[in-house]
Amino acid sequence: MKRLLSLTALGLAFMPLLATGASGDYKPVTPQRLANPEPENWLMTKGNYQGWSYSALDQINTNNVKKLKPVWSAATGMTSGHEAPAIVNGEMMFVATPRNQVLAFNAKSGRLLWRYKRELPEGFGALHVTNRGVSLAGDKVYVASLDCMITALDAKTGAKVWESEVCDWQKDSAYITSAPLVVKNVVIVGPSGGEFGVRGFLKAFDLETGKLKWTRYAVPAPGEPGSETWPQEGRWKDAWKNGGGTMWMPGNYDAKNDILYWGVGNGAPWLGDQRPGDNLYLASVLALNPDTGEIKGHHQYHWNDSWDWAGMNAPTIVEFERNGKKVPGLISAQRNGYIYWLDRKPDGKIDFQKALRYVKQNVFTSIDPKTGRPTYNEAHKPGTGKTATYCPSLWGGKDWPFEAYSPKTGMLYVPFNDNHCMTLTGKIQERIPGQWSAGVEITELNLAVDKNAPYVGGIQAWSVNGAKENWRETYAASWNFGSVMVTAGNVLFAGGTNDRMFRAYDARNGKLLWEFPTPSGIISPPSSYFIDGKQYVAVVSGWGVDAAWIQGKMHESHGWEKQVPEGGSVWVFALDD
Amino acid sequence: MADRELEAGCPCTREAQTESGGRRSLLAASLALAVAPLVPGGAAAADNPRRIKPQTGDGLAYMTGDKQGQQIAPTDLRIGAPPVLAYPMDMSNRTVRDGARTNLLVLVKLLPDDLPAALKADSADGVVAFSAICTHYGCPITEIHPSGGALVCNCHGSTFDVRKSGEVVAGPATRRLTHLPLKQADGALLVAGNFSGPLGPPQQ
Repeated sequence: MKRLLSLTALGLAFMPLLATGASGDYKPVTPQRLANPEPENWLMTKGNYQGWSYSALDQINTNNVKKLKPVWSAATGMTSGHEAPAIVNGEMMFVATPRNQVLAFNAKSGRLLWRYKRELPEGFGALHVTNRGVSLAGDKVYVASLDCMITALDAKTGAKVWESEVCDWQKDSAYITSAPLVVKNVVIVGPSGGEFGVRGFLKAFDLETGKLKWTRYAVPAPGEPGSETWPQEGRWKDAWKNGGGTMWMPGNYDAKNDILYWGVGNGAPWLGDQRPGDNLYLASVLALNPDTGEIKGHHQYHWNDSWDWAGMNAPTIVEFERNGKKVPGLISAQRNGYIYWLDRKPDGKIDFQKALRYVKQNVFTSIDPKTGRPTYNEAHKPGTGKTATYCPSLWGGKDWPFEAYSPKTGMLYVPFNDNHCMTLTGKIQERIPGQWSAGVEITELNLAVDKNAPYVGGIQAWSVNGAKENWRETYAASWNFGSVMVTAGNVLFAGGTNDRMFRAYDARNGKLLWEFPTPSGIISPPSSYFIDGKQYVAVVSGWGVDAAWIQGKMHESHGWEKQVPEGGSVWVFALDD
Repeated sequence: MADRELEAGCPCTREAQTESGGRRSLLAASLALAVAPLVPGGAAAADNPRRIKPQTGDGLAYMTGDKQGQQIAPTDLRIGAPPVLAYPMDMSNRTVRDGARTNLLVLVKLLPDDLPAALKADSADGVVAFSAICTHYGCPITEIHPSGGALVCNCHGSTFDVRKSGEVVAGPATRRLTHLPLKQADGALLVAGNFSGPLGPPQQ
């Protein structure tokens, strides 16, 4: 007993020393490391700048993954939707939680090293309180917060180094959920708020000082290129001011050509007839100069967005094989229900190649083979005072969860939802700061899921070069709200279902190889890392946000369980020695 | 830990959270003053008349519309009509206290018989004022339920029964909506006390 006591005392005394010791050799995250991340780390949300959500580790493979076991787990102490991946550099892991806490763990033992807590201002309001992850550079951790701030923390201690304002939550109703992206000497982030009439933008801040370097709005002001696609006169001439186009997911970066690709969200309000025109750059991908924010190219997936089909996820940077040659390309499963194949040029221009439907979609009647511009069945386009039913519903074929690309299999893995439609009636809603003004009553988001449909959620694996679906997994009684990660061991890791499972599939054929029930549902992206000869797979369990809202709707219409238990926890798995 | 911070920053006591009442409001007010220096940004807020909380004797001004900034009279409100969004206004210099979202109020008018006893004393000619900050995720509350007796947040559908002093009757919110006592003087609506409970969502 005495010995035990003294050990405890020693343990307490040594804890601060140990904490310092463990992080004392923290390896700075340089631009070179970000451009060529080591397989043993997971330095950014999607693992690499190309947005692959791919780990080059192969210790865990299709033969041994069935022996995967939890190594450690830790409660975050927070409820609501946990949408941030575990970011790992060396032995340090960083996890952001709802309401902008950041937890630093020893990635091997699970020991909590520090915890950053953010105090939100009184009266703060937002549609979501989630956070989608931190970014790393040098010896700092960057986190953007709901109340419109970006904060640099000391990676070793969690102490605040600087803080800068990105937006104004009180006046503009903007709020940040996105993970920032670090490129060279800046950290870049944009707010959410398309449903509150926010005109979307990105801001880039100096990594060391937090000084604002540039701002890029997604909706051009009068006179700027693209402004001609917005109403010039009449009732809607000021529509651009609150036109939406928020850029609420991190972009991807072509380090070789120094081009940033960033997705642009939905129009505000949702009804396109309140902003007649094509509305550049809503529902588009932008190619940007990371030093200035200058627009170098774009592709608009669909014009005059009227469905809340945000184009916020940047396309995945790949190389196509075409006629025996490698061609720089972009591929993306979009919310509008189509997968896009785009060519990227060294000057930033983006050329349309093709688009193929991957879920039921009743709006596009054709797609111009040269430009990619769709034509619409107007009967399925909601308007002001006009009711229309369209498929897929506003959550799209795929919402924000990340797709994954494996250079080994040459496949794009798409977490999808199908067989759901939406009926909306548009109205004119006064814009009140902080309140929903999407032009549709939130109580009248009439989601309809086909009762005879064999599934809603699932995963599709598409051959990038063959442009064909190779396999699919489907979930009869769940939507899929989880990002996927694929590894060089040909294992595809996925959560996203309401049964709380974390699953491993054979990436080549979709065969289920392993599953593990976590305390809540998983809507955060998995990640993988390697320490002292061992590969680890990490994921954060913590159901909430839209996945929870839809679950409630499915309870009413289909009798599904009303609620998935909430509460965040980090899970780390590995094979036995 | 965060809970404690919230409690300290909130001008109310646990007791006052559950019920309204003059004595409790007084207690709440003294507590609020006592803890004010602990609240981050509190000093700035105290200096800025646009950011301080509603004061007894304040008038109420329209937040939006053609009459924005103008004072509201009880006769401006109709039973069953959409609620009116308002900010408190310092009557000595007509400064509208619109510098803090937490000052936003939502006003509704009810038949006297529809008002619970606890609210009746804090109403003026059937008009009651609630904090407009939804206790779910903090969106401003702008809608009235077709029944006329409940306020609805348009963000996620939380519904608060006015006839039950702001109790949650539907939707994801778990905390009742707090109200601000009103009185009537010379045909105008005036603030008659402090908020009856905590503002906005509970924090973890």
